Amino acid sequence: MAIFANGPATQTTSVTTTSGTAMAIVFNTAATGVTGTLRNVLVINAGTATAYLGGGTTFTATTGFPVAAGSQLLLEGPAINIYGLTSAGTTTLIAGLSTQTVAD
Amino acid sequence: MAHNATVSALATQVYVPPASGIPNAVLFNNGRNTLYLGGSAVTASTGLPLGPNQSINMARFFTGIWAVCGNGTLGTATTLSSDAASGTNSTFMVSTAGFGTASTLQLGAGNNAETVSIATITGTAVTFTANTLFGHLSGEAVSLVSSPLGSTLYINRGTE
Repeated sequence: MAIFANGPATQTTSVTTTSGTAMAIVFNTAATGVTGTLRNVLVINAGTATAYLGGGTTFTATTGFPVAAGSQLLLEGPAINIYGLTSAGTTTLIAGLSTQTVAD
Repeated sequence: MAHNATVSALATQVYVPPASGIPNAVLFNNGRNTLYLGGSAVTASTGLPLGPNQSINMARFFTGIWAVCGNGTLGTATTLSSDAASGTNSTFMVSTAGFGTASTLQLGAGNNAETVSIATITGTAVTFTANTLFGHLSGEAVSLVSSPLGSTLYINRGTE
């Protein structure tokens, strides 16, 4: 087992008002290069519009977790798929693992 | 400024950004059940899940956050709807809404008060895990002492 390994590339997503099952996935635990036991996801809103996050695709701008432009959050615990949308306009979210356990 | 908030099935605002400064906060689920975080209309099916012993570190957060627990509404005070003789382990309550298996209740008041733990609930009929020490009459108070329902969130808020 590796005791140190490079983590997968960060996932940069353009998030729009698209809702429902077509909603943008901000952090995908099944993305290429993502392996092992995943923990601690960092999400940065690097765009100009507020993004709303959720763990599924059924939320809206009034129910999702708001992340204003310039804000960031670190979700400490097992990594999950995170979805996002905006109430208007487009923003860019950057997500990646803060720490990672790699199973060889 | 740190404090604990109790979260039930009703959305509760758990983070209020400070009036000035650049706000940071840590929200830590130190309860038993998964919480869901989001806007004012958040529900258990729409929020960002935060499991027990998980936390969210938030930097530059200028908007409020609400939380809801997907595991039920906490029971409120009610009364017995039938007598419960001393040394028995079952009775009826006017309402069992928000009470669940392993909820701890206080029956009665004053010298007659005692705590019991719920083993089963069927409608308004409840069975306790042990026999009562005292007799209780219909109409006596029942209040919730602790519950496996709901959760608590530790909130530590600051500014840069």
